[in-house]
Amino acid sequence: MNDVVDKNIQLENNNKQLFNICLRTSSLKNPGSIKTYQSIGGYEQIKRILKNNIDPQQLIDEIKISGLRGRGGAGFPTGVKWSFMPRDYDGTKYIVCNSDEGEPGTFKDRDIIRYNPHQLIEGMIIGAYIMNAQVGFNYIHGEIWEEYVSFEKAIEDARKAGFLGNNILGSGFDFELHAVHGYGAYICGEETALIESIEGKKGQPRYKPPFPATYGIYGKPTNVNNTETYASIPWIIEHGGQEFMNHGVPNSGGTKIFSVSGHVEKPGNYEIQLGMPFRQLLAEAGGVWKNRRLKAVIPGGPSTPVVPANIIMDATLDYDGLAQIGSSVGAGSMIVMDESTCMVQALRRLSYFFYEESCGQCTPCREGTGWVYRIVDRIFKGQATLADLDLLTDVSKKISGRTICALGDAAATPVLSFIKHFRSEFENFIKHGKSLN
Amino acid sequence: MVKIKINGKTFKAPEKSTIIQVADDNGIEIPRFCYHKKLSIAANCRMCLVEVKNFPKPLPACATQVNEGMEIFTKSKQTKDCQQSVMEFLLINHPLDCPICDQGGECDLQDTAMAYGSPKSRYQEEKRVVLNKNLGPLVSTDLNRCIQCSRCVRFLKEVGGMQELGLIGRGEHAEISAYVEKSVDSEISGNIIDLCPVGALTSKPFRYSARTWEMVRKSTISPHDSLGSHLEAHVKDGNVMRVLPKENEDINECWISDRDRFSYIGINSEDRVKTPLIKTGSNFKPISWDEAFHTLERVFHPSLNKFKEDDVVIFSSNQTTLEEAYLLEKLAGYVGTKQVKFDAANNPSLIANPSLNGMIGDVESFENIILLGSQLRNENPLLLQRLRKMENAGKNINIINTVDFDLQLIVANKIIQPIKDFQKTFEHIHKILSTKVAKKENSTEKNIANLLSKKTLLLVGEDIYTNPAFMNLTDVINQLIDLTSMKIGCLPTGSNTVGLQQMFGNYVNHIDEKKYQASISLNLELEDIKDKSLFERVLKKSKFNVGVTPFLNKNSKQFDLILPSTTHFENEGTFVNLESRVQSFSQAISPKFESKPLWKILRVLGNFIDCPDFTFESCSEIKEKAVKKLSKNQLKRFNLINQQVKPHTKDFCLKDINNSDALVRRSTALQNTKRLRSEK
Amino acid sequence: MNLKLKKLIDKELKKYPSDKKQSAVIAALAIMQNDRGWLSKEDISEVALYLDMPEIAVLEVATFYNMFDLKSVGKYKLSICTNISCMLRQADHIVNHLKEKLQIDFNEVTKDGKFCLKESECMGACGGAPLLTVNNQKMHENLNIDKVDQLLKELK
Ligand SMILES: Cc1cc2nc3c(=O)[nH]c(=O)nc-3n(C[C@H](O)[C@H](O)[C@H](O)COP(=O)(O)O)c2cc1C
Ligand code: SF4
Ligand code: FES
Repeated sequence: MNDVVDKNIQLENNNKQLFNICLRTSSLKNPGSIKTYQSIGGYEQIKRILKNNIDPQQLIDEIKISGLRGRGGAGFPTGVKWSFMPRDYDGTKYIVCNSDEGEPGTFKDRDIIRYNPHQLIEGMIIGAYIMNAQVGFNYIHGEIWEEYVSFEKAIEDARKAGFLGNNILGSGFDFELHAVHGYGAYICGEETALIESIEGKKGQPRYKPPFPATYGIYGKPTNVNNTETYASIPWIIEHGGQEFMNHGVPNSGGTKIFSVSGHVEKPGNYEIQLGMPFRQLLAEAGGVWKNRRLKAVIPGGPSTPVVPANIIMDATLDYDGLAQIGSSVGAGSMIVMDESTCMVQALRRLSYFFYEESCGQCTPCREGTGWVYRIVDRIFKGQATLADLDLLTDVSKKISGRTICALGDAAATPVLSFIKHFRSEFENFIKHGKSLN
Repeated sequence: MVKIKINGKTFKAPEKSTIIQVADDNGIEIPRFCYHKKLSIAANCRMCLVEVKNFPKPLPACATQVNEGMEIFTKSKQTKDCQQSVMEFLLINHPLDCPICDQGGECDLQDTAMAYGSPKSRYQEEKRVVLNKNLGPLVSTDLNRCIQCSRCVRFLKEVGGMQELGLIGRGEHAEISAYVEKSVDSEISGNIIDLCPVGALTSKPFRYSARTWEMVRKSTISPHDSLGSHLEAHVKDGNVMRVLPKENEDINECWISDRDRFSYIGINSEDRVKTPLIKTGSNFKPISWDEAFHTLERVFHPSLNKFKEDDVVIFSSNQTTLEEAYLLEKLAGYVGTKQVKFDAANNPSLIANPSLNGMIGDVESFENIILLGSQLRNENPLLLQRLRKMENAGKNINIINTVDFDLQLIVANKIIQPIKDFQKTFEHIHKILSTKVAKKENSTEKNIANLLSKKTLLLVGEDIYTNPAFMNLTDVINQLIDLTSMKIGCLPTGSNTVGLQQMFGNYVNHIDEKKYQASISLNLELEDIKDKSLFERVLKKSKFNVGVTPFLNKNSKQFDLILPSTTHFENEGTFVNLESRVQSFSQAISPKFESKPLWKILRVLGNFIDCPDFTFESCSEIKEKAVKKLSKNQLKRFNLINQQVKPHTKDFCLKDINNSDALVRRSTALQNTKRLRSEK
Repeated sequence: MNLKLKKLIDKELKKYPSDKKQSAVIAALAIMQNDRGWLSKEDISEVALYLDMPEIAVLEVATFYNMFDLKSVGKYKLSICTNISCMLRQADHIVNHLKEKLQIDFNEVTKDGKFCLKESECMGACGGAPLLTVNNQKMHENLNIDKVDQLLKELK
């Protein structure tokens, strides 16, 4: 059952396939250009909305019907979130696109910016129209410089074409969009840390409440969404919420990009209809590399629990399907590990990541992530005892749920799930100084 | 009001208050490190986590607002587990060597660990090491002990007005630091010592000199500015070891200035006068008090010397207590002189009752402040701190001054000009307001005029209201007061300037330059005096000069007789602060060497020269009489009391905060600070 | 700070309200660093002055974000991701090869001042693992030993 999946395997009652919405220009020539986007009907939706002065509530309702859930990891229904923004606020309101993807295994937003930036921009303009925001920022992960430059160019092109700036298309609606470049801090993906960063501070998350919708950038109402979330909007407005919903399964509407990395033949981004069986996606990604057997998968990025091969093999990729097997969709950052993977080493690297990236303000996260890493490191160096496994579990539990932001929870997740599913491998390492295989 | 339950008991609490506020108000203990009622909420230490019904996760009590029906548990299993684990996390990187830590015995971390921690440590890894930083002469660092609560950073930014410290680096590697090779220099930076819940920031001058339980706490009132801050001197073996704030919400809240905190170091200065000294040729010879008083008797006894009313001049400082002033006036009358300069430092005086005309806290109730000719950072840093709060609350702070001082707050409107132009400015403002036609004018004067429709307070600094040029200003300011609802207040600098004015009403402070038979200077140094050369000339011409002072300095040779008085901490007495609050203080330590408190010197002198009704047994007996003489009429408009003063040569008399009086000048720690201002 | 840099920073400042100059601090530091290779104390002070910020607040930012270098990093800073996806695709081989070839460890600069090696966290491009960036800007993906050798040759 752990065998490399046969590409041609047919699954009953399931016809979910790859389907490009956010990446729909990626197979076209010159995919990132405004021309290409317009050639497939791009910017028609914002034109239609502005021309007909469509009631924002009607658009929000459509998004609610679509079942679109935030693609940044938490999966919060986007339509609901947008309705939190105060309608008649006197003063500047902001919307922010979160392209700071930095959770290991996540690289989907980069491709949206590379191959379909104008759909993202149109999504943001529609969002701004709905929430009546005047200024938008796209906060782009520091390590991807070329995408930042290309996105600045895309903004320029959109402005030249009259989609940004004052009095857009003569409608009286104003919206300015700016690109902001991060500079190497995973925590800035957390929305309030991101807001602090835009304000020119250290990216340290704020305590919530107040939420950004009431107190965001410079204390003004602010909405933050993931890149993929915004990029889905024009398609939803074009085809209707129900059509988007139909591409997924109930409670998991639409398509979602899975970034598949690690031990597969063809790592990359796969935009799937939610509900697709894991087997099928694995097959799309060319199966486990080097003809090896699958050992484990982290389905949604390290902040989602790892799942052993035998459990994930029959799962479907949607919010409920992954919840059923004790994990979640997260940001769709699927990390595939083959039979040769040493779980102690993998956990050590992940623990180091959270230790390194903790912003440091909360005591449990600042002190706990370092402690956790050092214990795993001791296991890896053969200096631990079996009691350390319980200590590890206990320390992780004491970080989880006790911090300002969810990085604390995220840091605990790999530890708890790795030990839960691979305890014997850890024990073996402690006793014999190596993994099982 | 909302009703909530804590540990099953029902409490009423104001809406929007936080759990920790409600708990504090009702005596329910919730441990905390990062929370401080005067600072913004950081919610980062997580020590205050509590279980709240219907919430899956524990909530930080410091940041969570109460809701109707909320049920909070401060002692439940979940809460205790949170407290224990946070304590454990805090201690893993914290040295466990309380006996050698300067904070030992008064450490929040130590106390909280005892009460909420678990006895055993499960951490076997190496502890973090953080290099210490040199933050200047006031604050000492032991950064291995820092628990990153960020109180110090928030204080300096929010209350101090300038971010002098930061947490640099990230995560576990974050450490407190000033900018490369910089120190903390704000006028109130020492408060971070009190704020630091562990021994990471401690007092450098106090370091390792005493343990908290070895010291006796003596209350006193600050002698260095007109706020009248409540202080606590910690005394061991007859020495002041350190000075801390004593909380008083109406006056200093929980802060004190660095000057108040570190001036005590001057008490044991090498300059102290140990015994009475008499001039013999060009040298001084120690004599006994008895001989000294006999000398004074020979000069001042009316039966030996009959003085005319301006034969003798007496110079007193603005720190002179009510009691001392009372005795002084009696003695002067008896000796026959009318030349008592009660606030000689700030001659000449122009207006009656220069006080705030309200309580300190009331200042915050105004919508606008116009600060006229004050350098508040040097004069009254804690009052400035209140203006910062106002600015943060969106109110307008405006400045009209001769020098552009950086007040470390955002100023709404600012006019910097020579003093001679002030009149024009006010007249302009008056004109804008009185000519009803709305002129299309875009000027700072217009902006300020516009503000006057809202509750506005004009605060006049001492440098202006004691400047003869102020005479030209009073009319137009009074007209503005009549025209608008603007209120006025003055910002005297001396700890008893207001008391002296209220006691003697319209006393004239202007010094006439003439040949006196004798002079007496009380607790004054040349540096204290605005018109130094005039003062020097007067002493030079005078036949016999008495100096009553705790310290010698290079100008002491002008005196013929020097009597050692005490410093503030060895004295007792009463001050009236800028809001007319009468505050008495007692001795913190007994007088050093053979020094005597000024009131006692005056009292004995009175007996030597047979002054009638001079049989006071104690300071409080004098106080009773002195306080009766206080008149507290409010200043509603400016009225001049002396129109014959000669104009000053200088527009502004700059006095650095650490140069404000003899004691401060001798605090080595304060003198070693790098002041932010460079002009002198 | 010369006119060219000021112009670049001014362009960033335009993105924010005029009383929120601090918002441009990361961009301004990045612009300085690109020009100078790394950020000295003087550079940080200059940024503070230009943006009207306390120096310590700029230092806080400069030390919080990983891509800023407060020490010299030679002519080419090679930042290699060693995080999980790259690790699974044997980034360690690339790291070892580079260390051996350049005779330096992480955070060290080669004797000729040309290269510096940095270990980096996830760069958000794991599909192209293993990968590295040169001077924070140019990314090289799907690395193997040959490609690395080729790259070192090209970086003059
Ligand atoms: C530590 C941490 C890192 C995060 N990183 C990202 C990120 O890189 N990109 C992202 O879109 N959301 C990230 N999030 C989630 C955001 O806080 C936020 O929920 C999201 O941007 C909202 O957008 P959505 O509703 O469209 O998902 C992160 C959250 C945490 C706690
Ligand atoms: S949980 Fe960690 S990363 Fe999140 S705010 Fe707290 S310290 Fe920072
Ligand atoms: S006191 Fe509440 S988190 Fe620190």
